[in-house]
Amino acid sequence: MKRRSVTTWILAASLAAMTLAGCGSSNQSAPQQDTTTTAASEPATTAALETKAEEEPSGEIQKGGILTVVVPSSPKTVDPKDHTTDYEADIIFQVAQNLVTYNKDYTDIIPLLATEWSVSEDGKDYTFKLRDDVYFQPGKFQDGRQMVAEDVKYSLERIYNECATDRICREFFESVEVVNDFEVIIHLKDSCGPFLETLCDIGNGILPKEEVEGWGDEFGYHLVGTGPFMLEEMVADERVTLKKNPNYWGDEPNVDGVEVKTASDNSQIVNALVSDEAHIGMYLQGESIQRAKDAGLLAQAPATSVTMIRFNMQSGPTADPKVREAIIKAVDIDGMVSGIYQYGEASRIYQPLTFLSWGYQDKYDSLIPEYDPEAAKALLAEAGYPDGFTMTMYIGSSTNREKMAQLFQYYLSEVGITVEIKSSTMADWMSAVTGSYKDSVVNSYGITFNGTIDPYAYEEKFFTSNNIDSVSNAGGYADDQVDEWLYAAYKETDREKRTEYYGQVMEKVMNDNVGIFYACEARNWGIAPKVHDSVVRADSRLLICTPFNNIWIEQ
Amino acid sequence: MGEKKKRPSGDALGREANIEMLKRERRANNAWHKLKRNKIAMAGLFVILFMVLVALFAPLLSPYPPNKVNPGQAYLPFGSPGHIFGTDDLGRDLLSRIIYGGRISLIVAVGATFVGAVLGILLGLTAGYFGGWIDSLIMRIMDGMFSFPFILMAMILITVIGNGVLNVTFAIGIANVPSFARVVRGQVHIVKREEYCNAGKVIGVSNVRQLFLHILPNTMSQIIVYATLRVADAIISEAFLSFLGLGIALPTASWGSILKTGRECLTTAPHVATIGGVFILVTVLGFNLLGDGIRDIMDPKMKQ
Repeated sequence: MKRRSVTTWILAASLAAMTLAGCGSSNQSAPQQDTTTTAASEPATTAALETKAEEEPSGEIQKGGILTVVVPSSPKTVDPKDHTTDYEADIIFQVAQNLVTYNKDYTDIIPLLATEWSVSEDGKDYTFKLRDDVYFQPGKFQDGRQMVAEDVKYSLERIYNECATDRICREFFESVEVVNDFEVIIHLKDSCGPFLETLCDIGNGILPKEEVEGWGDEFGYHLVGTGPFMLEEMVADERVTLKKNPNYWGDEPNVDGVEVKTASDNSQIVNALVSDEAHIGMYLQGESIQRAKDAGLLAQAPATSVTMIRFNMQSGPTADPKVREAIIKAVDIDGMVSGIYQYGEASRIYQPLTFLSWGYQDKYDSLIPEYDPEAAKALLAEAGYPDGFTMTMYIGSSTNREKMAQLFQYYLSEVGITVEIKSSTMADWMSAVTGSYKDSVVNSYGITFNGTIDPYAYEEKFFTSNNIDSVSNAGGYADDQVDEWLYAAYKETDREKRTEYYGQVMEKVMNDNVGIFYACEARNWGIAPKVHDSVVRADSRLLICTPFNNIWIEQ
Repeated sequence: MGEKKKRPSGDALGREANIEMLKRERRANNAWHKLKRNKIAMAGLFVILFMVLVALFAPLLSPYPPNKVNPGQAYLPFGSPGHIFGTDDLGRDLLSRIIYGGRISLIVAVGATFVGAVLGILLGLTAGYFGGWIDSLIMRIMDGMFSFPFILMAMILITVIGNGVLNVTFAIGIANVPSFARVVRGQVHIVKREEYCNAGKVIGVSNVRQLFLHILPNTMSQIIVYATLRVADAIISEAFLSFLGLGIALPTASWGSILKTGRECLTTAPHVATIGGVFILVTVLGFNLLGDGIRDIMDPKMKQ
């Protein structure tokens, strides 16, 4: 009994120490909303973000050094076919390369392993001419041979046949024809608007068959490609080391290598930056953003993502359009966004599309019902709920999502609606939400969806009836007319016409009040002052040595 | 014959003096008087009473509803006008959340200890009294439960049954059962060999009567001491579970959930974690001081 008592005392003392640790830093500034730099993007909706990383490099370029990058989670596999997280994609991006890639501003597609491409009139055939100076990194099963068209055929058909995720417009993809060593034609069953953008997916990196088949299941730890860096070592939950590829076809990387370390706690990432143990800290959240900002290390970019609350469209009270409109009217969305993102780490949005997309049209912003709790009460009474009702909100446990749920709960309580918050791990959340339109257990849920600049990546995922059994349209939105427009936009290759179709979809879903689309969460990095020519892009890809930048470290 | 003034005899004098002495001795041996003499234990009791009163009168004492958000007033520092303890990440008044949070933390702690004690006592009494295979069976199950760290077991239970005040109380309570069972069993082993228990057996007292009227009351002193200390542990367990996001459901305030909120802003708004931590610390200290005081009184080996 005495020992038990002592344990309790120790625990109490630990708590005291923790609280004292909290007191120790009281000279730090409180989080502020305002920032000193200008917006990184044009729309007025964009909050002021730190754009330090986009400054032009100054002084003479210095070569050498190892670039140390810290990320919150460890890569598990770097096989392009099997990767699932951004942390893995960031490694793959340094080692394997695609035929095409996005430009620096993430607004257009530029050649990478291809030199040029053309599309047939019917939109079914994509002809790519390949670089003739590209060699694979030497590996166990080949000694650094030249990359040829057969490798493109092998790699793309492997993704088509074996990848669990659709990374190549599987429904329309047919085959790859090798014309000669440096020319391929990709045949599609029908024209496909988002196909070229799909080829930028890191899953479609070009790989040597010998290595893939030689390593078999272990290829995910021995990736070989054509990129500026070679995979040297992967230590699970600790680090990944890359070294410069001496036979790289492009500009020689300025740094000798890259070390990607894992630190699950954001404070550790900022500490590593401040203490000069790391050069770049990625995916900062919450208070760490403020700390990085105070230390002059913060670099931000608006993300191609949409953070939203979706309603159950088929079951429960939210199946009634009046109830959905009442809920949106009851929530002060501006207040909610400023309450969730207290470190300026997101921009307010209004529609289910990032303002970075070429399909974005601000005229649809005004379709969102305005904040008016009294009108919300009247609508609820009209819908047969004069005394409100009880509904659920399912969220994956994270600080931002929990804040959102509590604010949502508070605003709805003002109009008589009781919200029960169901917070769980992401895996449990996904299991609860997927297919939840069938019953009224899940009335609403919170989700952030990362896309590209193609509206297809959002509207197709969120609103096609084909997707009601996946998490992106778990609310069960299904409308024949919307399905038709989406299919037409998918098949269309002309961007203007696609914009038109997606605009029609947008108008319809906004009028149907399918959810509250409230924020575009920014990419938040910490970058040490000695790192030059870094780029923080909307997709948060780790860009070290690309056709448009080449990081160097001031020695 | 004039009435003779009665003089107290020597015996009578002795009797009164004895009665007085006995009274004094009884008073001196009275648990409450002993506790009153232990100033540190009294300080612990005072803290507990203060917290209990604050929790009881939360609606009267709280200046704002505990869940009322005001995003425009997030992270107001300690001593801000209208918010003496400042505000948290959603602009909620921290004083109000501390007051209501104390209510939840105390309910969970006392409730969990009660659940653990009731089940643990029943199992410990049964195992200790009957012995043999019943004892082996019960105590091996308890040993199995002991092989899980206390907090891990509570976490597993929460994962299975979900969070919320009742579930957290139940989970911590269940995790408490083996330790109570072990303490009670040990006491039963001592008490059941006493003369009065043997006498009871000889005159045919039933097992139930023997257990609950003769043995249990004589183990209560140990149980009370142990329970007092377990309440302190349960407060920390609740705080720990809420800190991990496994405890009380959002947005209900508990001291652990306040600590969790404070962790997100430890550098920029340290007052949030500080206030939550201080209240946990002081209350746990209160229960520990009182528990130690009671043990000093009731443990015969420490009678001096």
